[in-house]
Amino acid sequence: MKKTILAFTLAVIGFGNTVYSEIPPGEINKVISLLSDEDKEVRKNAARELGNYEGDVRVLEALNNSWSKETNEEVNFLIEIALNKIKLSDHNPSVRKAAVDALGDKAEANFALEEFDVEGASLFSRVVLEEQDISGILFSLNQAFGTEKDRKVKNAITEAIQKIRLLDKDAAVRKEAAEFLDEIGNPDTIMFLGRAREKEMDAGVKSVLEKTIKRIEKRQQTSTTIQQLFNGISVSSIYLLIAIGLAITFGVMGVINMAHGEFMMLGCYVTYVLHLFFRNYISESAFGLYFVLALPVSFILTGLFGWLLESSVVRLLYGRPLDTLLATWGVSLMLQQFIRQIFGANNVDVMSPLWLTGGVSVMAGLQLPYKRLFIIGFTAAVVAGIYFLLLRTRLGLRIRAVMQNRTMSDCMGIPVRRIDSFTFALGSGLAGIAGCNISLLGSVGPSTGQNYIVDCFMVVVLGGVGKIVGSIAGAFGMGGTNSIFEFFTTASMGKVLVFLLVIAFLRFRPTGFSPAKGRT
Amino acid sequence: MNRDIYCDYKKSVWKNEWTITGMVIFVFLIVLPLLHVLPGEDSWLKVSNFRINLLGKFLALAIVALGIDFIWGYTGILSLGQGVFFGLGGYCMAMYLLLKVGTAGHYESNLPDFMVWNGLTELPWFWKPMYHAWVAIPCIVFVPALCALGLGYLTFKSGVGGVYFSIVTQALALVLSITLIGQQPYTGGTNGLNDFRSIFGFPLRGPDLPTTQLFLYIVTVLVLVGAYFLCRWIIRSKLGRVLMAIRDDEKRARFSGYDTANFKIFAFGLAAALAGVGGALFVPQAEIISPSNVGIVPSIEMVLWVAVGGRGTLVGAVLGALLVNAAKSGLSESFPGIWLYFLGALFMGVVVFFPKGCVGFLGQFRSPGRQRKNTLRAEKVSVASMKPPLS
Repeated sequence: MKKTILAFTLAVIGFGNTVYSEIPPGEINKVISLLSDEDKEVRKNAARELGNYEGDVRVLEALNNSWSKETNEEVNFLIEIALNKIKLSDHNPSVRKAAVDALGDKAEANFALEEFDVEGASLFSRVVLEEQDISGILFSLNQAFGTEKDRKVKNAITEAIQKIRLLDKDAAVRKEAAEFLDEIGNPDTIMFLGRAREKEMDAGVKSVLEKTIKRIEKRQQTSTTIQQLFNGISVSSIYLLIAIGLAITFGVMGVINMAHGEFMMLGCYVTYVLHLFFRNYISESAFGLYFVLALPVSFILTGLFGWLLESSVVRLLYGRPLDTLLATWGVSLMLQQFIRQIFGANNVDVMSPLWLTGGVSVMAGLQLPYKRLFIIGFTAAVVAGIYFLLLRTRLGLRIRAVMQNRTMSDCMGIPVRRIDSFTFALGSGLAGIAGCNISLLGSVGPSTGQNYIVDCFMVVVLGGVGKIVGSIAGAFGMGGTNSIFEFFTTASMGKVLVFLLVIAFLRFRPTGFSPAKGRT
Repeated sequence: MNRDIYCDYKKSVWKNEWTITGMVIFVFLIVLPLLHVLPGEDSWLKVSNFRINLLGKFLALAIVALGIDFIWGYTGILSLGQGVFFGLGGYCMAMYLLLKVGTAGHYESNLPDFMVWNGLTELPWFWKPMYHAWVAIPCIVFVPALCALGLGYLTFKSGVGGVYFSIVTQALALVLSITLIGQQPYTGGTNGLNDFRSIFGFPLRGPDLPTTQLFLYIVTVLVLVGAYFLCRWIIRSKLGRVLMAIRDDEKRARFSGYDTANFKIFAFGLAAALAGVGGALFVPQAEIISPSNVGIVPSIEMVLWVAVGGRGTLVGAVLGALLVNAAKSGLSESFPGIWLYFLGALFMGVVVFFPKGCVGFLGQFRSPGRQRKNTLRAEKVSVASMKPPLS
């Protein structure tokens, strides 16, 4: 069956070539009309021909139209190739790259077909590309390589070309291509290389391929390790960012604020509202600024809310931590319901500013997202800021004085009540700012706060209450173990194991990593 | 001075409790079942099947509340993980009930339906002993109790107490609900365990269901009364005095020569056992147990029952469980939007304005002077419980 199709198409090539040579450059319209010819061979050749008219909008449109109408698989395949060839001269680099990848894959699908029997081949495509198609693709890619400026697209083109050359009949060419691919070492090609290895007869080429695959596998392992390490640091920094507010209200003031998570959720929603406002009323170019604005706004708003809570409820409950816990839980329930009634029970998405999308490519197949890097950096800045405030300013001195001995501070003329309010507001504001960062990572909902609150209390307990350095250790301890366990089990079981480990750890170090010194 | 307040307080509370206890037992054990059976269908006195079943559920929850009162009101330890023990007891019962379904399930397999659906072919090892009532029923008490003893050993022995203990128990509640949801083939996942057919030969569906429900109701009342008297007996014994001493000033109790950690572990274990029994009685009446009964939110709601009723009085715990649950089933169905506001306000209001709950509020009218002294005492209690853990 395959052979008859091949023979038939070979017979028609002559006709195709004549069409190619006889059309004067101005007669594109005529070729386009051939796309709706009754004979599929005519249509195929028309598609082949049209692929050469790079950058012509009319051709692109015609191909798109006939692609959606075309029912014959073979013709469609050729139309797709033609489309991608034209897209090679698109002005958008990502479109160009996609086109390059598609061309490489198309050629490879053909290659896979040769390998398997007809049933197996149907997994890829039932179309056999002819010699001239492959060489046409190669020609276009080579041409594109010459004019290409973008480094990424250029790499992709090299890769596609070498992939196609790896299908060559000549063992020497194949070997050269394999060596090239070895040099590129892109982990995405590993499947393809595996298939090529299966098929390869020549011992020399095969050994090169094997070496390449091994190298890529090893590199993948390294990149997974780095990825895990980065995830661990990233998760820890998120824990730390949320827990640092708790470390202040709980650790420094001894107040259990169960509504801390809800303050964080308020921060998320402040960001959401600002992002909506900027999207609808401010020009697109300024959209990225909403996040810069959201950070202080969410800090101030949740801080005010915290101040309100402290002066209305928490104030009445100093010295009764268990009661504070229950009362603030009540506040958290009301806040959740409030948000649910205003914004609905469903999660909302906050569009990230453009300057935080994308990431740094450390090595092939390993990208560190800007958002996560930003959160890590931001957390470091917040921690530094808190340390500066507590240790280097007059206000910090007062906060520490009240924390150590309330009565004596009062006697010395420190406004104890105001310091209490301020400290609580500071802790709450930090929760808001944490929420602002959390909204970068995914959709947020009324129960976002509850998902984090227990983890963060565990961070503070694990770290030891009363010292911020303890919370830092606690956050990294929990974040690190969490990502290790998650790697070996599932996300939920990882969390379970971490909590059990923390409980067991408290048996041996009941005061956590950094016990508060002094009389208790 | 201190001793005077203590004795005074004690006398008044006990006198209150005797009268109220007698009346309550009489109403629940005799009057209500009679009103259920005797009057005609449309008589206004008739207590319907629905109400008996609802009340039975609430009374099962009141057993849990008794345990919380025992540990929180009398020993001064706030456990936010009672839902865990409630769930352990409830799941033990539910496993037994599900295995008794046998091959009558939807898939006509030996395994419970959800296991077949999840592709299990063999019963997991921890399900196997639950075939037998004589294993399942002790498990209801001992599984939660042993878990609590273990956790108590890990925490109290090393001096973790106060709010730290609360947070650790809350984490435990999260751990259990995550595990139950995550291990769906073994636990039924989010849907939990349901679709029971019979309990000890009494049908749990069909026309004879009301009889079973009345039977379960009476059993629940009896168990509740038993639990009440057990707690009361312990609290009036020397052991109870030590527990209250730990609540009021743990350091002083320890300096008097008591190993307070052991007492706290015991109290925690007893509270857990009561929660397990409550869970086991709740399951056949609610006909379902799921992770939503055991997580953080239900656990902290359980504490609210005791806070509303009045901590430090056993009657208050029972009363609180009934009141809050009645309000919940009334309000949350007709005004789901308002319910959470109400619940939040209840948490805040009770703690800020009525730290002694309903019982304390009612007692206030009888002897205003006494109430003032008791408030002083309550403040002292809390000061004792806020101390950071000793290293």
